[in-house]
Amino acid sequence: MTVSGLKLWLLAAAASVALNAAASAQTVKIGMVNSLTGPHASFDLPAAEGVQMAFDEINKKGGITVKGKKYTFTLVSEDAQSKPELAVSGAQKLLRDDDIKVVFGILTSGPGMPAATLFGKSDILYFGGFTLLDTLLGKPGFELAFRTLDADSVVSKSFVPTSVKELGVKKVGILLPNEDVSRSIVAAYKPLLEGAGVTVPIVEYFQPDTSDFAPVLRKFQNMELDGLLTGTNDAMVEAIVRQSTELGNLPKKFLYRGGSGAPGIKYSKQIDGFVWQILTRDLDYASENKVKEWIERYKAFTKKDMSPNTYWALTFYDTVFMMAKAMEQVGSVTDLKAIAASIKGMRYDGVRTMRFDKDGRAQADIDIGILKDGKISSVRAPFE
Amino acid sequence: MKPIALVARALPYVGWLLLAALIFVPAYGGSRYLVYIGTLIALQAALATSLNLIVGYAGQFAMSHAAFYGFGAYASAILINSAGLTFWWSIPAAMLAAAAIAAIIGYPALRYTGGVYLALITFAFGELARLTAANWQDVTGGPMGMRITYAPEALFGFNFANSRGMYWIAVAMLLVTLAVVFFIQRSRFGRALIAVREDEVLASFLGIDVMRHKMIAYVISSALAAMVGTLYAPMMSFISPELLSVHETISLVGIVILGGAGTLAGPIVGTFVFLGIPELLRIESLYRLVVLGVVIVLVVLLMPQGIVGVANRVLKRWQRPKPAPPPAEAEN
Amino acid sequence: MLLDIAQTAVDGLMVGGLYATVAVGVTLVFGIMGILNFAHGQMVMLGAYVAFYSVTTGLGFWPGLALAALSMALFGLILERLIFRHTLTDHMAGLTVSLGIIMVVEHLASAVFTPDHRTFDPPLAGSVRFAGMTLSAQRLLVLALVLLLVGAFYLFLQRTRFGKAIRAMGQNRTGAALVGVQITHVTAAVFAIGSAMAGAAGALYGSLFAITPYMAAAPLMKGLILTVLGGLGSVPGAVAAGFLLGLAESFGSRYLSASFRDGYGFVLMIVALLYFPTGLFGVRGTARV
Repeated sequence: MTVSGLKLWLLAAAASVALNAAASAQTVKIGMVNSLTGPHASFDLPAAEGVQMAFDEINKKGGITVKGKKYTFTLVSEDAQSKPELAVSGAQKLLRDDDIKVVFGILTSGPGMPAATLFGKSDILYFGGFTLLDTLLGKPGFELAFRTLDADSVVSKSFVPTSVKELGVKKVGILLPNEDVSRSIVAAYKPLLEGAGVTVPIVEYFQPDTSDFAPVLRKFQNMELDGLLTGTNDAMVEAIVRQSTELGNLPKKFLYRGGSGAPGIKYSKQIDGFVWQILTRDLDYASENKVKEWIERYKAFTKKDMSPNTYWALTFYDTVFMMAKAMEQVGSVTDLKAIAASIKGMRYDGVRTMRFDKDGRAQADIDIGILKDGKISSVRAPFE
Repeated sequence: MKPIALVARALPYVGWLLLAALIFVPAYGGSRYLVYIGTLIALQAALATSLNLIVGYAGQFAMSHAAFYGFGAYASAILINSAGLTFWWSIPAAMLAAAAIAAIIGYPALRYTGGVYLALITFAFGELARLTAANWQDVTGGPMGMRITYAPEALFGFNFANSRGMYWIAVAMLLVTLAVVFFIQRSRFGRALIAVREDEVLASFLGIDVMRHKMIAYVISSALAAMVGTLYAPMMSFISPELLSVHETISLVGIVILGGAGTLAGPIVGTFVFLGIPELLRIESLYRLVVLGVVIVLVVLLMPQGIVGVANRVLKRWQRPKPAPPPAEAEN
Repeated sequence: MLLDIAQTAVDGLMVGGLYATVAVGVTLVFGIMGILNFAHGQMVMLGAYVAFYSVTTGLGFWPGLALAALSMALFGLILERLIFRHTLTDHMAGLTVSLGIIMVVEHLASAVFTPDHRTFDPPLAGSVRFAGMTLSAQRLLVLALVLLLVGAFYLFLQRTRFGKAIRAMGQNRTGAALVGVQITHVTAAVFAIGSAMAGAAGALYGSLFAITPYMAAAPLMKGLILTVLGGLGSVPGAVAAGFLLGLAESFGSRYLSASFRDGYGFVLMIVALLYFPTGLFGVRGTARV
C-alpha cells in the first residue's frame, strides 16, 4: 500500500467511525481498563463488575436524561493483564475512539500510574482506585482524575481515635507489607496514634508475598505491646492473626486497616479485640436494607458469591451513579470540566454516602466494625 | 532454476522488506495507539533479539534478562534525576554499568558451573536485584517506584520528546540490536559461539576459549537489555520493582523459542505471535491467554526449532531440489 | 535470647519441611529425569485447591490430602504422555512448553476458582507448649507428615526394585536401558510420583497459608533452587537443603529484614553454588547440562 493509499484507507475508516457515532447519538461510550487476568485480577475484577453493574442498572431504567434527551451507556473494556505496558496499550486503544471521554478502572499502582498519566495528558475523565493516584491528584494535569477508594489520610482521622478508645490500647506495633500503600498508611496512622496517647515502638515491613509470618512476628514478642496495626488484605491479616495466636506472647488486639471483619471474627475466641474499617458498608454483616438489596443484585448480576474484595465493586458502583447524576445536573455528557466540578460539589446518598474533595479524593462515611468479648458491633464515623 | 527455488531465495528478503515497511506504518499516518503498539513491539523485539544472543547463539541459559532491562530503566532514571545526565548520555552509562555487573555475575557462574547452574545463579541474581529495588528506599523509591517526568532531549534538531520520537528511538534500538547480532553471526566470533553451543568439548579442542566466548556473549546481551530499558522509563512515565520480575524473562525465553532460537528473524516473529494472538482473538480475555498457552505448547512439540527455524528448513528444501544435509542453523 | 533463637530455628525447620516436599518432587522430575517442568508449581497450586474443596465440601482434610496427591499423579501422567515425553532433557524446550502449560492452567484456574485468596480450616488449631517454646500445632503436624512422606519415599527409592530402577536411570539412562529397565514406563511413573508429591505439598501448604491461582511461582523457584543446592538428583540433599533454606529465611526475617525474605535463600544459593558447585550432597556426573 502506498502512503496515499494508506491515507485514503484511514480516511475511510475515520468516516465510518463518524457515521457510527452519528447513528448512535443517544449513547455515551464509557471506557474501562482493568487487569482482568493475572495476579491483580482479584482487585480489578470486582471493580470492573461494580462499574458494569451500575451502568447496566442505569440502562435498564432507560438511561439518564440530559436536557430532555435520553442517553444510555455502552461499555468498551480492555484487559491490562496486570502489566504496565499492556495497561497503557489498553488505554491507548480506548483513546483511539474519539467518543470515549470517560474511563474507569485499575486498582494497582504498577499498571495504574502510566495509564493515569496518559489519561491526564489526554483530558480524560478518569476514575481509578490505586494508591499512588493520591500522589497525582491535585497536581496540574490531573484535574479530571478521581480516586474512588478512600484515602488513608482521611479514613485514619476517624478510625484511629475510635479504635484506640474502643480497644483501650496503649502500645501498638505496626506490621505491613513492603508495598506502595504501606508507606502512606504509616505516614497517616503513626502520628494519629501518637496523638491519641499511644506509643508506637516498632514498625516492620514484610515481603508482600509472605505466607509464613512466624519470624517477623517474633520481632514483636516481649515488647509488652497490647495492639497490632496491620493490613492490607484479608488473606494477609487472617494469616497474621492466626499465626500470632499460635505463637503466643503477642498482642491480642488488632487494628485492621482494611474492609472486613472476617479475619478477626474467625478467631474471635482466641483474640481480645479486632477493629476494622467498613469502607463501604459491612457486606458480610449487612444490616441496612439497601446494602442487603445491593448484595442480592450483585450476586444475581455476577453469578458470584461475596468475597473480601467485593467492596471495591461497591465503591465503583456508587461512583458511576455520581457521574451519571453529574451529567444530568450539568446538562451535558461531554463537558468534562463541568461534570468533574459537579461531582466534586456533590454529596451523594447511594448505597453509602460519599463525596469527593476538591482534588478528587473520595470521602465516604465509614463504619468502624468492632469485635470485643466475642460480640460484633459497629459505629458510624461521620466524614468530616 | 525452478520458480519455486527463486521464490524461496527471495522470501527472506521479502521478509526484511516487510519489516522495513512495517516500521514506517506507525511513523506516517498512524494513530497514537498504532505508534504505541509499534514502540512496544520494537522494544520487545529488541529485548528478545538481545536475549537470543546468549540463549539462541551461545546456548547459555541466562535468566537475568529482565533484571538487566529493569536495571537499565532504574540506572538511567537515577543518573538523569540525581546526577543530571542527559537521556542520551544515560544510555551508554547504563549499558556500561550493566556490562560490568554482567561480568561480575557471569565470570564465576560460567567459569565454575555453567549450564543449568548458570540459569539458577542468574535467576537468583535477578530476584536479588528486584528485592534490592524494592528495599533500597532512598535510591529507588522502594515499593513506591519512581515517577518519570523527563523525556528524551531533542537531538540534531529532531524532537524525541513525543510518542513518535520515542517510537524512532525504539526502532533504532531494535536495529542496533539486530545489527549487533547480525555482525556477530557473520563473524569468526559468532561461528565459534555456535561451535560452543553445539559441543563445548569439541570447541575447546579446536582452540576456542569457551569461557571467554560465553562471557562476551553474556555481557553484550545484558548491556543491550539495559539499553532497551533506558527507553522504558520515559515511555511508561513510571517504573516499579515489578519490572525486574523473572516472569518477564520466562516470557522472553518463550518468545525466542517460539520464533526460533539462534535465528535472526526468530525473536521478531515470536514477538508478533506473542503480542498478536491475544490481540487478534475476539473472545474473553482470560481465554485469549489460554489459547496463547496452547499455541506455545503446540509449537514446541511440533516445531522444536521454532517458527523461523522450520521456515528456514522448508526454504532450504525448496532452494535445492535434492534432500538437503542437516538443517543449517543460525541463518536468518 | 537463647529461647528466641531456638524458637526461630524451629520455625525455620517447620517451614523448611514444606520446601523439602516440593524439592523432592522437583528432584525426581528435574534432578533424576532431567525434565525441566516449570509447571511443577502449578501442581502445588492445584493440589492446594483439591484440599480446599475437599475441606469446604465436608469431605475433610485427610481425604483431601490423598485426593490431592492422587489427582496430581494422574495430571502428571497425562502431561508426561502428551507433552514432556517429547521434550525430555531439552531444558529450553521444557521451559517454553512449561510456559504454555502455566498460562493454560493459571488462567483456567483463575476462571474456575476466582482469583481471590482462599483459606480452609486445618485439622489442628492452636498451639503446643514444649520446653518453654510455643509452637503451632498444625505446623508440627505438617512437619511430621513431611518427614513421614519423605522418609517413606526415600525407603521406596532405596529398597524396592522399582526404586533401584529409578536411581539407575538417574545415573545413566542408556546404561539402565541396557540392563533391562523399561525407560518409558519408569519415566512416566517418576513423573507421576513427582507430581503426587507436588499435590501433597499443595494440600499441606493450604493447611497453613492462604492460596490463590497465582501462588505457584514461589514454591517452584524454591524447589528448583533446593534441587541444585542439594545436589542434582539427591533426595537426602534436597531435604537437607529444604531445611537449610527454611532456617535461612527464618533467621534472616527475624534478625535482619523481613521485607528481604526471599533474598536470603538466593544469597545462600549463590554462595553455595560458587563454593560447592555440585551441591551439598552432590555426586559429580549426575549433573546434566
